Amino acid sequence: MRFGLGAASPGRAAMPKSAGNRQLAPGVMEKSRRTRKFVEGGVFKLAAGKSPSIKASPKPAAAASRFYPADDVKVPLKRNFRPTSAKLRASITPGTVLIVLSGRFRGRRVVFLKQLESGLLLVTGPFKVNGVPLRRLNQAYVIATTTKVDISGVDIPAEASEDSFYTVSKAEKKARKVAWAKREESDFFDEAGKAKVDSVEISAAKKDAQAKLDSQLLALPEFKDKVMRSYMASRFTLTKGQMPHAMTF
Amino acid sequence: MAEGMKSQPVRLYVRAKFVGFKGSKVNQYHHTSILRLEDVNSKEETEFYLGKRAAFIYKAKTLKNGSNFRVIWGKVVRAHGTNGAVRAKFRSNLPAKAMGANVRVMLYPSRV
Repeated sequence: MRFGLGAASPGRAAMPKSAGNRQLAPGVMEKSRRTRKFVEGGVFKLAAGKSPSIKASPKPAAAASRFYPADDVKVPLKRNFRPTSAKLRASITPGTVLIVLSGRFRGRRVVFLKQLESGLLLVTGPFKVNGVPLRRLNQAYVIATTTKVDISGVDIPAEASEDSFYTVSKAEKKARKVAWAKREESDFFDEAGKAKVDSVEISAAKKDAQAKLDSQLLALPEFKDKVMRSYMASRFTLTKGQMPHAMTF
Repeated sequence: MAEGMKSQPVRLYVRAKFVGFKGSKVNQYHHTSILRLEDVNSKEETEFYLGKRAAFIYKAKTLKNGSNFRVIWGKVVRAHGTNGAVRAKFRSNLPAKAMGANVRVMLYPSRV
C-alpha cells in the first residue's frame, strides 16, 4: 500500500501522457507542454546547426516558438572519444606463428597474416596443413612464438582483409533462427531412420580466398620443410613439469 | 560442438591449488583467494601469471545447460608473499569447502 500524494488523484488520468514525461506531483508534470514541444520538435537540434532528420521524429519540426522552454532541456553531451583498434603486440609481426589459446582451435599453431581494422588478427593454419581456416582472433588469446614465416611475397585477397567477410549479417542471423525453429522430423532423420549430421555450408567466396592463400603459403620454402609442416600440424600442450613462465615459445 | 564433447585433448592451463583466503591476525577476507601454482616458487615467477584468468571447476547434482559441471571464473590479481603464491579474485567468492581443490589458471589474456 502506498501512501502519499497522487496515489489515486483524479488529475492523473486527465493529464495528457507523453513519452518520457513523468508526473512529479498531482497536476505537475516533469516537463511543461512547451518543453515537450521543444524536445519533440527537435528545435534544439536546429539551434545546434544540425539537421532535424538525424533521428526521425514522428512529428514535423515545429517552427521556432516565441517563447523559451520553461524547463531545462537535456542536450546530449558531445563525446570526442572515438574507439581505436588495439595496438599490435611487438612480438606479433606478419608471418609470426601463433598458438591459439582458446576456442575450437585451441592448441593449434597458425600463421599471422595481418591486423584488421577492428584490431583482430587475421590468421590461417594454413587450412591444408592443420585445418584452421581464414579466421579472426583476438591477440589476448594467442601466444606469439619466435618462429616466423616470410610472407612478404604473399598476396592476401582484398575481400579477406575486410572484417565484414567474417561476420554474419543480421538478416542472415534472423533467417537462420527462423529456419532453426521450423525444423521438422525429416530434418533430423533420413529415410533409413538415421540421425542426420548438421553440416555448415561454406560460401564459395570463402573457399576461393582460402584456396588462393593456401596455394601461396604452401609454395613458400618454409612449408616445403617436412619438420615445419609437422610442427604446424601438431598441437601445443603443456605437459607435466613444463612451466610456461620459464618457456620461450 | 563435437570437439567440446570429447575430453580436452590439450592442456592450456597451469594447475593451481586453492589454499585459503586472504587473512590478517584475526580476520579472514573471503573476497580474495590464495592460490599456489604448480612449479612457481618465487615472486618473480608469478609475474607471468598476473592478470590471467582462473577457473574453479566443480561438479553439481542438477543438470544445467546439458552439463553437470559448473565454473567460477576469476583472475590472478597479484603476488602473495615472496614464495610464488598469488592472490586471485573470483566473480563470486570461492566456497570454503573448495580449499585444497584444483583451480585452472589459463594462459590468457596473453602478453607474450
